[in-house]
Amino acid sequence: MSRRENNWPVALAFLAPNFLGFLAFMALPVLFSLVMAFTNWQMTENAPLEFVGFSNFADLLSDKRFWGFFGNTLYLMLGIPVSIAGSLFLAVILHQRLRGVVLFRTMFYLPTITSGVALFILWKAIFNPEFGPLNNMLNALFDALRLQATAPEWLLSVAWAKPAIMIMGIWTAVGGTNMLLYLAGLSNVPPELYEAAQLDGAGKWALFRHVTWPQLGPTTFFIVVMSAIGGLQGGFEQARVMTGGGPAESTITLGYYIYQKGFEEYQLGYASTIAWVMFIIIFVMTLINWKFGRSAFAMEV
Amino acid sequence: MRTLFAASFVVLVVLSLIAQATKPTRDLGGRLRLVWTTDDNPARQEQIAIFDRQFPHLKLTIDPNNNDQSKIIVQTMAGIGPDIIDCYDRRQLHTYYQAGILQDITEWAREAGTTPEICWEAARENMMIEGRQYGFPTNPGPWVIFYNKDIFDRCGVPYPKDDWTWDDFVATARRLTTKNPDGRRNETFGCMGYDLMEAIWQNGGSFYSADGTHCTLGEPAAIEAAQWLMDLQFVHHCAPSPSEEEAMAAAGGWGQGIITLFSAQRLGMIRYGRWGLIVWRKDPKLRIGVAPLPRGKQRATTFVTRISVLNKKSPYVREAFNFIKFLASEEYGNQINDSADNLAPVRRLCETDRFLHNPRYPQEDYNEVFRSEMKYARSVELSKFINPYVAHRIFQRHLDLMRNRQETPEVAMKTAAAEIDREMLVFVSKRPALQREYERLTGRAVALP
Repeated sequence: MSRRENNWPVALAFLAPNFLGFLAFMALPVLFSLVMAFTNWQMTENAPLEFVGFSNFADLLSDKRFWGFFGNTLYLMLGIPVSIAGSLFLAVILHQRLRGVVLFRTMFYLPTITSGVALFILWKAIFNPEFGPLNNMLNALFDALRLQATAPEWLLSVAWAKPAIMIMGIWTAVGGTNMLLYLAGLSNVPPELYEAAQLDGAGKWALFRHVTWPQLGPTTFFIVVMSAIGGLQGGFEQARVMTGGGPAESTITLGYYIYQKGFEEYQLGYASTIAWVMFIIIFVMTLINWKFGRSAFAMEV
Repeated sequence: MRTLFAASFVVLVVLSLIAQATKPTRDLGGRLRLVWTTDDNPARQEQIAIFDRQFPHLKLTIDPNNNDQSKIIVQTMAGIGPDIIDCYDRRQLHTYYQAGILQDITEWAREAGTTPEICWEAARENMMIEGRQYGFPTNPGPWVIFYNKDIFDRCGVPYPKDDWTWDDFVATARRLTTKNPDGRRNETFGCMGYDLMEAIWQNGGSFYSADGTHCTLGEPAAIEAAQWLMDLQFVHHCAPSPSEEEAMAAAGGWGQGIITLFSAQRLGMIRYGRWGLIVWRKDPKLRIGVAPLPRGKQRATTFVTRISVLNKKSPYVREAFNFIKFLASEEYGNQINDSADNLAPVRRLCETDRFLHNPRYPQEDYNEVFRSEMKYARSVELSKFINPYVAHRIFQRHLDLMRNRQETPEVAMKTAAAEIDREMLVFVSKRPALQREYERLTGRAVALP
């Protein structure tokens, strides 16, 4: 028996814990939720479980709340391009040989390694309409400019709650993993490209426009795809901690809607349907990204 | 590398075995451990000590980390739920009932004398479903108005009388509201915490019709009540606006914000329950008075209590019933009365001089108000024709829009009623038995719009 064949049982033994965990806590629940999406499963009723075919899906398509919350999700995703641009800007600056650059990188990355709930509570205080530092600053500014304006009520206002969450999201994301990915991408740009461009008389903007940006194309493509997926799935924790989905459901996203239907209204069959429709939306959007994004972000110098 | 993986595997196996071996057992030196999911606080520890004394063969432990409703349902269905579960309102009781996890204790309660008849009348619908008993209240009570005597004296306003009206309440609240020296913010607010549903009841309205087949929020009584409540904030400016409430609630905790603000002389009157005294007793300088909620067309307040129920899938459900006996005991009732954790669940324990005049707190000369208000206490309204959480969610959304001034009280209440009625049709259309009952009561066939 060869050494290769001898290793099989050992390899399987090592793989088994992870594989069994994956089966028990990921694959089977996912499969189970797919089956449940076609049933009337309600956690709180002693009614028999019935197969309802596609009726949950039909209900969902005519569910105005679902489309409203999909709109909320897309609205919050408007912050993604801003945060990506911010991450790129920071990465370009922090890629310079500056004094204390490691300290700055660490500081900018801190929100990513800080507990999300702590950040949300901090931002809730910042957005406090009466005593929050943000409104204190805005009101002082309005007074100085003699403007008869009032600072927004942020998380308490139907109109301002989403922008408030978006602002917080941008602040958190700018110095996060995207910045690290860009820093890694920047360190992989061959220096001779810059040298050649400089010999041709390129200025700083031209260097960025014609060397850095195209070289970062694959990184940007990866970030865009992952951010879009994250954006479509996201918004739950922020809404849960900061607004409870309010005011008037203005901060409920698709992820939160699944929770609301499943664990507040106990309609688990319907919640599974929302989860699968959300998966389909994410899958289609990722395919579109893949189809058109790859060429858009192709490396061309 | 292979050795490293093998060593890690062995360590994990050993740790798992240790975890299994040190798992808390039910047998604690010959005493059976019962698990009660509730919130942890000093009063709970006192109550546990009394229980353990009364039932030496049992040891009561609390599990505050698994107090979430969905968690309890899932754990109970999986056979690892707690023995005793606290419900925080009537909706929760019905949710557990529908999940099929509640032990029917009607016969046991009859034998032990822990029937609804010994409790406050308002408690009965909170412990019974379809004529059967499923639980026992732990600390019932009404919402009342607490007022700060110093602020009243400073503003030269007479203390409220027991028969005061909405108009008296507004006039009083306005006189108690004072501005900061710069005139930009309120130094004190006249009132805070008034509840819309209570105002609707006081104005003769309700959430549902008597047969539960439609929502009555769109009727004039509810609209007028909503308008009255909004006027407190936006016309009379004697109650904090939503943003001011948010700012003032920064202290956090379960109602802690409003409690602290009251102690800090920022609020002339607040709507609160007797348990507020647990905190206010620590401040000897605070001079408090208590009055009933003001009368609209009639008197009404909300009945508030936790209700303890038993997990019917618990292997120790019979032993857990001792907890219900404990809740009905004199020692427990006196602990609730003395500690101000609301009122004893057994009514006769509040009909004593000890309840009215606690010698440790002689300044508390208002305990009669809590007792007499129980006559007007009402429970959260439910209809079997709609998921209560859906109805609440719709109500809350329009309340938000009203408070954001995006809907007038009339539009908010009428739209909420229409949406709830529509959800009722959807709900019954998927449940044939309910649909038949709904059609019989309304005299018309269910047709989805």
